[in-house]
Amino acid sequence: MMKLTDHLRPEFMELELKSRTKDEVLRELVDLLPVDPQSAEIILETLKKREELGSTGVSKGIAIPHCRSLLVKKLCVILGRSKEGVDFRALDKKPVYLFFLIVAPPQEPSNQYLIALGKVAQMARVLARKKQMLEIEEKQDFLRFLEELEAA
Amino acid sequence: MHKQLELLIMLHDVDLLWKESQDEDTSRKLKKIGFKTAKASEKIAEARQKLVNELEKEIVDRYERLVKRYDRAVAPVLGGICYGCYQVMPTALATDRDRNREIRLCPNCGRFLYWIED
Repeated sequence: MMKLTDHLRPEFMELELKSRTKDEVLRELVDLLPVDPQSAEIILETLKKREELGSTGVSKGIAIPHCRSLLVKKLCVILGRSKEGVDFRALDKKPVYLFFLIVAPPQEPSNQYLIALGKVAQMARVLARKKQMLEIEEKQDFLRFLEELEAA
Repeated sequence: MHKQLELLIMLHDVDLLWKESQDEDTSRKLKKIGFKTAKASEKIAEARQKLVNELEKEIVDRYERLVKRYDRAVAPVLGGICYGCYQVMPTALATDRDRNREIRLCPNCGRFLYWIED
């Protein structure tokens, strides 16, 4: 069974996002992807276009920006946290504190992309009720916290 | 990366986004997950047209022909294999260090190629 935390590593996490706007957050998240800067720019443009179809701020302080791109060779999961919250034009119009960026290649056969999106959304519902979401300081601790949530 | 290849990849990814937004099954799954996704908007169509305008005509023509034939016109190359037709690239192409600095076609299926670093 696919586990989201198998795709997350400390270098793919930023627990102190500095951005204050939607576009800035997307850029900060994209910069954590394991791709060259030129590819990151292209993915950023695709993500912005995806947001035009409807905000990926799924409510309760969590957003899951996502797209498929030719520029990644496997499913990438990036996690970002803003303690102050960002206006991401979320569905419930509330600030977003936790971001999961998901980028998947087009050729991926087992459709892990939709499974990953579903897993994050499921986890988001639980996370929204946990105060640790904003309190944990260390990336490794946050990863362990997510692993525990995923195993529960 | 060759500027035209960059535009081609953007066009490919925009087309993929467009296609997914039109696909009933994917839309239903995304809705179930909690996303509210509108069908591809005018803005996406405009963005696509802008990319098409920036690309050289013969590249666009080939792209459209390949889409008609294969659905996706640009294939990534991973480990020396074209992920469009799953054929191994000839050694001369596979060892070329500047491969994304030119527009290359798969000698087997004719798709545009984008090399992903191993």
